[in-house]
Amino acid sequence: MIGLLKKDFFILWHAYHKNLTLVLVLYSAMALTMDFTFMVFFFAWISGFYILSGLTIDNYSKWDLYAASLPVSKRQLVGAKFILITLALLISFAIGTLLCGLLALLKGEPLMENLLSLLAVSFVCLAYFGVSLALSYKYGVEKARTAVLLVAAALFGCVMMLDKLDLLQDLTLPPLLQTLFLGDLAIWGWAVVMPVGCIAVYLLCWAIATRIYSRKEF
Amino acid sequence: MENAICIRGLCKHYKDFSLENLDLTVPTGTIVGFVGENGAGKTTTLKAIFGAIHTDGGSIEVLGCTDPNRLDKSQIGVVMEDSFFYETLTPRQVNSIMKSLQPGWDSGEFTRLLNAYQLPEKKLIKDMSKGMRMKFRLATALAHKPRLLILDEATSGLDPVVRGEVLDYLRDYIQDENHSVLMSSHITSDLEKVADSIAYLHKGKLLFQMDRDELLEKYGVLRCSPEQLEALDHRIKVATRKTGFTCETLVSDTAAARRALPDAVIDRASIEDIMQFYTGRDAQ
Repeated sequence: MIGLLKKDFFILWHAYHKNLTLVLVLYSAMALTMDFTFMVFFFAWISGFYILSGLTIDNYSKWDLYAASLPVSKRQLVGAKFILITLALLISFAIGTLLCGLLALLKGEPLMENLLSLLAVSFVCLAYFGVSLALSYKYGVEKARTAVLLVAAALFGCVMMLDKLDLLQDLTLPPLLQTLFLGDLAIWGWAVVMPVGCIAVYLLCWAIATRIYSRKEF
Repeated sequence: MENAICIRGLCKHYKDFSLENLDLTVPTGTIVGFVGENGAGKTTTLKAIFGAIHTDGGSIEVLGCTDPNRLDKSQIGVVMEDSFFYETLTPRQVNSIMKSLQPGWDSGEFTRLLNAYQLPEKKLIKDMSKGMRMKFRLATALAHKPRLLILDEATSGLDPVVRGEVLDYLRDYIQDENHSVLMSSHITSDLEKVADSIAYLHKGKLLFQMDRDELLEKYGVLRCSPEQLEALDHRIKVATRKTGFTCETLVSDTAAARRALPDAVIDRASIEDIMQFYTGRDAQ
């Protein structure tokens, strides 16, 4: 497993270290010098895409066929990608935390609020990239990426349209969700239910991806 | 003699191609040359051996194991024509990766092979020539000293000198009679030099697997007139091509042909001749 992680790290570092540095500097500068606090949350999003690109690189070199000849199981091959996503999100969370601290120090922005937002974004990204990875193993990276982005855009578009038509105010969440995320238990909803839900989606996708990959031929 | 690989009745069906009832044996301590035209099913067979594809029938026993999921892959080394590590890695990085992936990985042996093949440790794969890349793949397949080597076009792209070195290495590799090689190649002259037996796959079917010396002794190219050819037992005529007033015929029993036509010219048939005649027969 360590060897698989090393392989992806060497390849991704060679391919993206300049791009990563630029993104890091640019997003940090935008967050710290302009009113673009949300850039802090973008690292999680970007870091996951780097890992997904690793699958494209694997396809290009027909790595899966070569890997089939090595003493690593298909479960380990899929597991390495999911672990890599987790590591990438942890690193982006650490960077985000540092930036939230700097924002609080330099601009007096609310530290706890930003950290909770960062945490929420990181968990959503965890679920998002879990789904993306599972779909990538099934349909290929390009199709999966487009499909997930289209679904996300469609959902966002629907919300925007409902808002434009002043229909959003009339919509009410089911009582359970209302209580968990907007009512008295909101702190539990956002701090426990949402992360646990995202982790559950992620683990489910991990299991599905392993099953998909086990049936694949190269 | 124990077998490193024993395939019986292997079937694999695709939409436009089928591998049918393939029997193939790689006795331990031997090199088996695997030949066939492009698309004959060589790579499909090799993939089935190490479990990269699911089979539709038959059995495959590799190093005593019949279940590809339980096969100890640290005992095999594989070089496939176009699948390997991504081209932005260096031999040094591959060494570091393989140390963690291959239980028997020998960094010393890997470095020795890199030096023998004059491969710089810090050179990116993408900056290597085709020949260097192939040597690098070979070094990576050999560094854990596998008991079985599966090579798919591993000598293509190499210059004659390096090909000679690789073939020498393979000869040494099987000397202890504990190591075995299954090697597909379009460079049939290489197989004539090192293979103990030749397996010929044609359109998804194994036409024969024969001892190399027996094969080269039995098959011959007969040159005679069409009238003389008529007198020959049709069972030993594989295929004929007409050139002007003479016929060139691949015969599967040179001795019998010589007895039937003592005045005719019969040359030794190379593996390439045999393949060309078989392919030509089908085209007719």
